[in-house]
Amino acid sequence: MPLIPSLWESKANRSLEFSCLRPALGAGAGSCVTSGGSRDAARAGPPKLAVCIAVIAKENYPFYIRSTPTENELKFHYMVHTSLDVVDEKISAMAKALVDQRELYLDLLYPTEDYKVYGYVTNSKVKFVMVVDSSNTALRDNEIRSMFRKLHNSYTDVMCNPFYNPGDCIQSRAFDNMVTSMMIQVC
Amino acid sequence: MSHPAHRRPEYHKINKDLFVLTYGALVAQLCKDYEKDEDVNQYLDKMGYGIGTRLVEDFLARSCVGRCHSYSEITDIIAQVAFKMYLGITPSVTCNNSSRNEFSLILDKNPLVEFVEELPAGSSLCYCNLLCGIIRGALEMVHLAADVTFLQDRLKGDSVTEIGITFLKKRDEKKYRWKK
Repeated sequence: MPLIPSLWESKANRSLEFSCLRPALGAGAGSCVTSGGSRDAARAGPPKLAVCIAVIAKENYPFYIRSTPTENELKFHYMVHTSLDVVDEKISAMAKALVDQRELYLDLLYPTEDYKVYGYVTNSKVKFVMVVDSSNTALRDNEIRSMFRKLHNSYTDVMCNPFYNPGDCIQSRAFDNMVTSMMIQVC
Repeated sequence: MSHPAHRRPEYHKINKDLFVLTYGALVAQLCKDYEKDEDVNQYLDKMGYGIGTRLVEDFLARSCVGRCHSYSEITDIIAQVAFKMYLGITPSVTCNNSSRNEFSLILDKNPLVEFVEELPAGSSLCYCNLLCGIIRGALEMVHLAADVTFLQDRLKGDSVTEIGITFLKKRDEKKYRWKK
């Protein structure tokens, strides 16, 4: 998916014009999408319920976005992008409340008519955003948490690769496989 | 000469991840400094050689193995005692030729490459070439010349990681004392 730098540069100037964004199929392995939010709902665990998964750096650019191919990926990108505001709100709210949590599982960020967006933030301010299908009601909180934990573990493995420079797009095959295992399989 | 049971009573442990990440940082930095993979391999081998010449003293002091009488015994000790002591793995040993001077160590699990994904296609980097240098240096300190290289590497897509040790014939065929 071609990155639209302007979209991600300042969230304050978020433009709703995404016509220039060509939706890229989620088949790309770990392509870094800096354009609009993509919804990455990755549901880890046996039920493959994630629709879109995104890993966002602390500078608020994504270095991994993947969504199921059949959907309009642009829509997902936009959703993830808009969810970053909610993430920031929650983080500052938690900081104010002096909640001393090691890992901030942000829970449901916001629901839309079709999807629910979940967030997770690490101490290094790397955010994981996951979009799941609302129609799947069997999804429980601890499943989402375990999915985020798996994501976080895979992410630390990617970071430990000596040939990976922090800030690059994630192109690790192992990470891709793990994300695929969590996403809805679309034929 | 008395053989002490242990040179040091306890083994100081460090976190394996720190060691693996340090080695990875070393290789990554070498790759950045030298453009060609062959140069990186060569320098890794040289560094390993320096380590091996010193490590063999520590190994001999700690392990107290007896005299070896054949190359295959030596290779067995490298695999079963030395690798176990320093890396915690035990590669299997196979003999490659009938004249009993070429051996292979098959590593099914290599802790040094735990976090490394496959190398880009066409890359000739031997990520663990340090190990080859260590073995070569250690053998040379006990007066055995050997050629140690990687025959197969899982990082390059092969099914196993295989280190080949070829003992080179000395001009005089005296058997040297191998106290490893």
